[in-house]
Amino acid sequence: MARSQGDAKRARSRRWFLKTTLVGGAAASLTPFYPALGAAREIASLKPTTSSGAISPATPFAVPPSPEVSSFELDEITISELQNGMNSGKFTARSLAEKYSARIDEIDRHGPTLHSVIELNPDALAIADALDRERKAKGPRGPLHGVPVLIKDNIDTADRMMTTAGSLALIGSKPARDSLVAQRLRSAGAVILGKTNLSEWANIRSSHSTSGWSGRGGLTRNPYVLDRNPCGSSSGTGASVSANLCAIGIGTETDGSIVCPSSSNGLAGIKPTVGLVSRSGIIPISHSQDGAGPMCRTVRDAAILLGALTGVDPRDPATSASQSKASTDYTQFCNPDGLKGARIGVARKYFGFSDAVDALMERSLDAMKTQGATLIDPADVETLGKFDESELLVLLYELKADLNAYLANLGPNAPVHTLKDIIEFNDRNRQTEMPYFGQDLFLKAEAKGPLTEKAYLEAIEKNHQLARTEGIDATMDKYQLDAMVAPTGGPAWLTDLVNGDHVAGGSSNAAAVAGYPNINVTAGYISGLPVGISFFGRAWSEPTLIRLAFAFEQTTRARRPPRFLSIVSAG
Amino acid sequence: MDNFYMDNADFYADVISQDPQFDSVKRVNDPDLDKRRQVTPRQRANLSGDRAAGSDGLVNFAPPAGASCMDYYVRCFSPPIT
Repeated sequence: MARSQGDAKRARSRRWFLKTTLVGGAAASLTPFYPALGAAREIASLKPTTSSGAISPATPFAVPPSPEVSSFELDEITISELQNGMNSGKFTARSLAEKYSARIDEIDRHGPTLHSVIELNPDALAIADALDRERKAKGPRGPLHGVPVLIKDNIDTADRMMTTAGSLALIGSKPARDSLVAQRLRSAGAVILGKTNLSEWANIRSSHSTSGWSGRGGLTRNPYVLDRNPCGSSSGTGASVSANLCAIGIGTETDGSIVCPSSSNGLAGIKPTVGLVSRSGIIPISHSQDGAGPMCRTVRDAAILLGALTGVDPRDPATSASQSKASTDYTQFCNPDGLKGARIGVARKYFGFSDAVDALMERSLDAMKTQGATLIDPADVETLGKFDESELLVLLYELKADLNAYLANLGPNAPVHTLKDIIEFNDRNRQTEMPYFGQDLFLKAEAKGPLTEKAYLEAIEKNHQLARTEGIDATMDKYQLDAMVAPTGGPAWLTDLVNGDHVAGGSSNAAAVAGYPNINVTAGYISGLPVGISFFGRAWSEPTLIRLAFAFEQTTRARRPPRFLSIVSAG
Repeated sequence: MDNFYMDNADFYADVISQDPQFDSVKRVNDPDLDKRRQVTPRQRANLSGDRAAGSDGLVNFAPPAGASCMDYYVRCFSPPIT
């Protein structure tokens, strides 16, 4: 195929860049213009991992050295192994909290400087001590007793930590009441170790944003390759769990923010049916689509965590529908033979954005067939592409209504009280809040009227009709499916604070708009970067999806821990 | 219609129609899905990946009126990943 003029221009630009600068020097010289990126200079100054230095004869430019990261005692440890360790006396809840805290200091704030943890819980050790005393006196409460968890910084905790959605506008905001997610974690005996960085406001501020960046937390790095993006908006949870900075993590999703960072960071992530996990006390975007869910290194750990989060919450009306649908123990569905006899639809319209991803998906589909699944290929959601506009419209309307309600609930002492206040704060603090991208989506949301407006009502009706009735439900009925599969996304893109995200491919939108469950599992690696496969299906089908995802994980065992490379060609 | 990316719709449609690399995509309005599937994976990748890595990118790509992003095998990202 003939190269286009655009290709030629880009090639010339690359040659010019390579001729005139070195990556390390470029990083150092750019740092003053990118204050929140500061760690680029840190990378350039780190010691090389090879005696030959950073420049390889086969490489046309200087390769920034990868930071030296030693192995860690708790690398890839599972919840079951932690419980065995605590039961045998090898670990205590306190020792685990101490070890993870030290590791956070070692590689999140120094070394690779992942910037995935935005705040540590100053009470974590005291909580752990109390849980250790309780274990000794009465035994463990359950599988999460003493297990350190990191949660996204849009989940309220009524403690000495802030809840800010990564925004400087909410600095100092300490909600009076735990979110139900935090409440459930505490009840289960988990130790909330801290909060994770995120795409600010869960990425609903700007249409030109860089995922993983927040005014408060700076830029989160992908632990596999540090100049790559961790995706978002649950970027910090994805990066921290993958980098073994905690046992398990919690993310939130409106459309893609659990499954995409799970894919980019090599994790099992569960975006539950809307209503299975309460959203009360979570800084909202949209009550029609928001949800919180587990992000873990294994499907079994994610299943354990999901079981601890379910339940009806009067503060979130959507949970009332979960009454007879929820389980408190999803591990019962972790069956290694779970693919046998399953009918799985291949959502081909989500393929085709990358040859390498397509090849990986074909291998994944072969693995499912080998394990006894019947593939129906293609089995597309025929309405794809028809609800993009109505989705955005609903999110903008609901953002204004839901965020204003959240802020009002913070009380008179909250630093901001309305979306309008936040917009004005950002305008007053452009240097720190908007150095890379603006707030066009906030402005569009602020211009919206109440949820009684015809435009909103028609859009929400259209969403449900096209994503549910004529979408996932119709496809599942037509082909008599247990679930559908598609690539979750591509390998992580280069972080680019100038142009924003360069996302190629994604399959989250049908399940997200429908409010249906979606599970990401690591399928394999492309250039050392993890790529996930999504299993999605009908409302409340988490048991089925967990069964399939677990069996797939046990068959492929694809996850590998990150190596903190500076670029994809290094190491 | 509330559509934050539509401001640039004409620009992107024009870029695609003029770029010889995307000849197959000119058939975007062809209602025959099989014909649209003749867009090769590489071309789709160029649309969604390489293009996005270019100066303006397709992150906020908008299709011409009457077409959907899926016709181009590109997710429109309306909204961003949230």
